[in-house]
Amino acid sequence: MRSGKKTKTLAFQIISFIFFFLVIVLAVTFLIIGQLINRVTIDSANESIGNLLSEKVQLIDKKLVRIMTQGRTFRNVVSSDVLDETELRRQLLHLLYDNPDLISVCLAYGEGSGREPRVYQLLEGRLSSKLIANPDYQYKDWYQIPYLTQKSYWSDPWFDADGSAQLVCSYSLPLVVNGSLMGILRLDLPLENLQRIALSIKAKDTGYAFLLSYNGTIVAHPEDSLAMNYTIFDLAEIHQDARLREIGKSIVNDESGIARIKDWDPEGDVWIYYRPLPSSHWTLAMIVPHAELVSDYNKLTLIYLIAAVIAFLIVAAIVYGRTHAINQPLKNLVDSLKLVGRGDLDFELSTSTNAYEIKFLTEAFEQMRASLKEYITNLRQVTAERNRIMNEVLFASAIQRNLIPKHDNPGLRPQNISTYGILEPAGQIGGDLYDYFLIDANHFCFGIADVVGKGIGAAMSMTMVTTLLRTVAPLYGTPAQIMGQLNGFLVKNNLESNFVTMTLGIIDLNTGELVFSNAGHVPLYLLRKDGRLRKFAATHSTALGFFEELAVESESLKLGPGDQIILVTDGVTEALSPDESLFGTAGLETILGELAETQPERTAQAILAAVRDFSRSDDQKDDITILVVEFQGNLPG
Amino acid sequence: MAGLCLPLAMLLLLLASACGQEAPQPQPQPRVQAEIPSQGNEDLFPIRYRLKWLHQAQFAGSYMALEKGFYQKRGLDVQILSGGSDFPPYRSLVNGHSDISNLNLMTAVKYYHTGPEIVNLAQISQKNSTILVGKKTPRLLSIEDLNGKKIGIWRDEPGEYVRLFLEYNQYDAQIVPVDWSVNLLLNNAIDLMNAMDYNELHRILMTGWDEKDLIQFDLSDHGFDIVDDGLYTTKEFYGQHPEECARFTEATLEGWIYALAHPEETLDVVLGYLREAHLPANRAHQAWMLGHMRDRVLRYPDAIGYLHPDDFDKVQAILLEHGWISQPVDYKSFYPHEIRKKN
Repeated sequence: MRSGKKTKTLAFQIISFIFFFLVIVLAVTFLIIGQLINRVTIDSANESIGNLLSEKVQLIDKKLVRIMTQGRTFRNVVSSDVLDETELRRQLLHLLYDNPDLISVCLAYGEGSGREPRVYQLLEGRLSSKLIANPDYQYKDWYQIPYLTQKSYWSDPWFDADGSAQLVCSYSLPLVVNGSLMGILRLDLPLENLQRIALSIKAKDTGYAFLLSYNGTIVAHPEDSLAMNYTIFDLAEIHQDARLREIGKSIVNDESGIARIKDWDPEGDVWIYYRPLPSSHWTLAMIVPHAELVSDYNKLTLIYLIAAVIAFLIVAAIVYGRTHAINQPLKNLVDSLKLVGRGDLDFELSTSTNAYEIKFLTEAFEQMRASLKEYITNLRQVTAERNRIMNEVLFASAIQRNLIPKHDNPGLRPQNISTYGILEPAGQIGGDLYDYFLIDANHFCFGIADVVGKGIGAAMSMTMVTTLLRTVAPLYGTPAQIMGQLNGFLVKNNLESNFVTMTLGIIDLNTGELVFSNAGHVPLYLLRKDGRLRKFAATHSTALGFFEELAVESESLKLGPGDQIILVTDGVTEALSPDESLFGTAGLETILGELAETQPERTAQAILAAVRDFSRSDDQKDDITILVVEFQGNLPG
Repeated sequence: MAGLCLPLAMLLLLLASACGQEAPQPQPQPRVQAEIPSQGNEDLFPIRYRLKWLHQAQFAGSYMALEKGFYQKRGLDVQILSGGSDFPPYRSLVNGHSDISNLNLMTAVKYYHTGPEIVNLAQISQKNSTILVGKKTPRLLSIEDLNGKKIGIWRDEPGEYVRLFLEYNQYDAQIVPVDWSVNLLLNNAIDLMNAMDYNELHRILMTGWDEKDLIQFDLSDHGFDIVDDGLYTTKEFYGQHPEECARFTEATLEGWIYALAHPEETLDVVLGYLREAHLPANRAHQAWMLGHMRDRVLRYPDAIGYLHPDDFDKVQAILLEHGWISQPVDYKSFYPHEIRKKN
């Protein structure tokens, strides 16, 4: 969640994933199948248009073949040279009458043949003949080419001004009479007849046919201005289309073919189909726009795409609905987790789902919720209990602190005594103690003690010791006796068998004599005013509370004005440095040795600072207690 | 167009001077207009101009001169008549069926002494255009292979030049007189045919033949570099109407300059003439022709219409050598515009 990636719903991810692969699958199938269908469509169209073209070619060719057959038959009749004028005219009448495609017949005898060139036509059912007066006809293609090549010849369309006065295509045959070439027999077919057939051919919506003569001249074309004016090669030159010129060459070579031409004006890409008329070497060609050829394919493609989109939408809807249904328990689970995150465990989680994993997850979560709720309930109780105990401990701690003399209460000490004590418990409550008080007007009692043990028991023992100390001190004048009383009490009442180390001293305020007993405690130090330090390491008994019969001794010393008694607990001498070395009495002595012209507070603070500096840790292991008592001189008499 | 203005202006000056006018002003056009104010048709001088051949872009200058009113503004009512085999232009001229004709230079020189004397008003085409073309075969690779071949040559006057070439070079070829069709060659009725490189050559190419499959002999490469199209009239007509002849020439040349500067417009006009005459109206072909005519008319851009004495001498020498003329023709008499010389 913290990766910065935008999260999306499961349904969206599944749908988009499906969509991605669906698009790939569709694209691949579209490309492969589309190409195949396109190929098949074009092949099929090509075949049907080719068939149409073949049919029309046969239709036109049939007409031409008929004219050719008639022409050859008639030439044989004329060549035999046995006809008189009447018979010739009768035969011509029959020829024209039987062949309505013929508009005229010309017997074009050459110069020196001794015969007149004449053109014959049917006019109102009668044979009409016209003399060709101008000898220039000998330079016309229809005459000159068959004459020179002595082969029959289908002419380009030409305007027969001497005969029918219209555009005709002529079939010319050399006339050989008695072995000599006498001239040309010409049979004329109105171009219009061929044009009509060619122009009536349609394919698809706008596909059209056009007719080309043997040299590529366009003789029939829906666009009038092209017919008789342009060859296919002219069109290739206008379009600057080398491919079209190649097609033209194929056409004039009597070849059949199908080709696609790019950017044909104005249709765009077109297909050209061409097939020669075998009899005349002319060619019937068709132009069909590519768009029309593949229009079915395009429609199919569109339907395919629409179907694909619909299929996708249906799949998407189903997937959305299903994932939504599956997702609902998950969503509930997510909502529940949010509630748990806010600490609300009092909700009902529905586990009604038929998805195994989700059901398992939901049930597991429900168990976890129930366990968590129970645990939290328990925890709350435990915490409340703990808090209660803690409060009580804190209260006990406060009580304990209150038992310790306050520095701001000078009434506790006489005029010639100055004290300063520090108690830093390791926990809330400690087992250390210091105390001082006046036993009577001349005796000042002070002590320091350390309960061996931790916790409430130790603290309670300490509290008992404090209380008891204050109680028994006035009754028993010496530290040894007081300690004996304390020991007896502790042995009897100390439930946890804690024992207590203690140094207790009583100063005679008038003389400065100090009597003190050390019950298993850290040594007492005397820091003279002049800076000399003296250690009193001897203990006068074992720790209190251990042995029922305890003999406590004591020793005494004489205090001078300015002398300080320094008492610490083992929290000071047993403080550990990070490298586990002991502060020890040596460390204490070093500090005390460095002090000069000192006062109790400075001495106590210097010791605390030295210990803290030595241990370099916030985690204090043991209670630290320091008590410094300064005797300032005898009380004035 | 800027490139054409200068020669035109120069020509106008030259022609005006030839007709005995005073020294012209630097701006010729206003001067011409001032001299020949616009008149009604009945006041225009009628001229029948016979083309050498059927209507086509070969004569684009005349069509444009008529179309743009260059004749009319010079006081002329010009009628453009189709030529060709049916109306041979030389005969038409000498028979009085036309006032001015378009002829080959060789034809004009050849008949100078045998018929009525004629004069050259302007040499339109300054290049030879005649070639012999055939299908390339192993038997037809060099000019010597003409021997024994059937060569289609235009009957009558237009083919004279080629016939002379064959005769002069003593090629033993069979001459087949033909009309304008190229189908004889395509159907192998002949081995070669004469052709104008601006016309028939393109028509052959437009039946699917490539130039590499054709053999072409350019007659100018074989000593017959004779310029062709020019404007001619009889000396008699010229003597009677020198000014009208000059205006006609001037307008025709202006028409040419206009035509070459506006090919698309010119092709529209040419195709209009072709359609009217029921001739194959093929824009691609006419564009090819107009492009080739440009090279012929503008060969010397600073002397459009000028008959170079060298060209004249060349044709005369060939004709004399061959014996087709027995005595030389005087250049000045044949081309009587003394001032009309190349600068």
